[in-house]
Amino acid sequence: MKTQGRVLIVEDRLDWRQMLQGILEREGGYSIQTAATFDEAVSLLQSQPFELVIIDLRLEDWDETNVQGLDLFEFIDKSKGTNAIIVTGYPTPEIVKEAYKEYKVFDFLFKKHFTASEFKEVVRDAVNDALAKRKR
Amino acid sequence: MSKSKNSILIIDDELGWVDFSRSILKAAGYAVEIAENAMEAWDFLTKRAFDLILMDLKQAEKGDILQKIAKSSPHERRRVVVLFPTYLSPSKMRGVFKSGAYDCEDKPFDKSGLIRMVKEKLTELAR
Repeated sequence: MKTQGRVLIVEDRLDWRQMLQGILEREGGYSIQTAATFDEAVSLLQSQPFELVIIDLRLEDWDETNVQGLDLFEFIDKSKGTNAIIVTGYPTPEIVKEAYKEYKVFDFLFKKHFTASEFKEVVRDAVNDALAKRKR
Repeated sequence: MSKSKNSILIIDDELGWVDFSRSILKAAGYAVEIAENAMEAWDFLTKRAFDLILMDLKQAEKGDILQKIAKSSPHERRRVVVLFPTYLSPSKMRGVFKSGAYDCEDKPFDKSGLIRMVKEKLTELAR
């Protein structure tokens, strides 16, 4: 059975943004929006609900200290059941811990070990979980 | 020392650290139980609840005790802290949280570090 989840992909790199979007479009059943910048993402998060937000941590690739993706959590309404997945090329143990413990991410994926099959499975589970939370 | 002792279950087969932590935590006023493996841990957990569960990384990785706790009792899941003795890679860190741990910390090898960590976790969990 196909899900009917609304998904926002926040990724500054065009190649990754298109790839993630393409994987989910081929999978089907999702309404997908994309944002290339922090501001675009905030604007979308403030104007419509999502079951899942997929977030790249470093939203300005030239800045090695950038973890602006974490700041987006301020605009994600967890009380409405929205889940978040982080996809990053720059994981550290500290960031992974912070993401799970403080930001309660649904999952944390590493670009270095990225596989489409795992991505599809995690997205499906996250969307289904969000939809189930909304029904409660 | 508080009137009602906070209870701690330590799941670890590293007997040197177990003896060290048990004596320090008991002297600090905690009620401590030890399980050297998953089977012993499960035996305790099916009989009673603990305020905090300290689990060595090896035990968390060895079998499915962490997943079993997470699935059987959301309440207990919130109380498992996995302790790792050396550097933990991002993917191992992810695995620990995905398996259902509440937190993951460097294994303390000194008295003050152990007591501080336990106090911190119990305070967080009481919120």
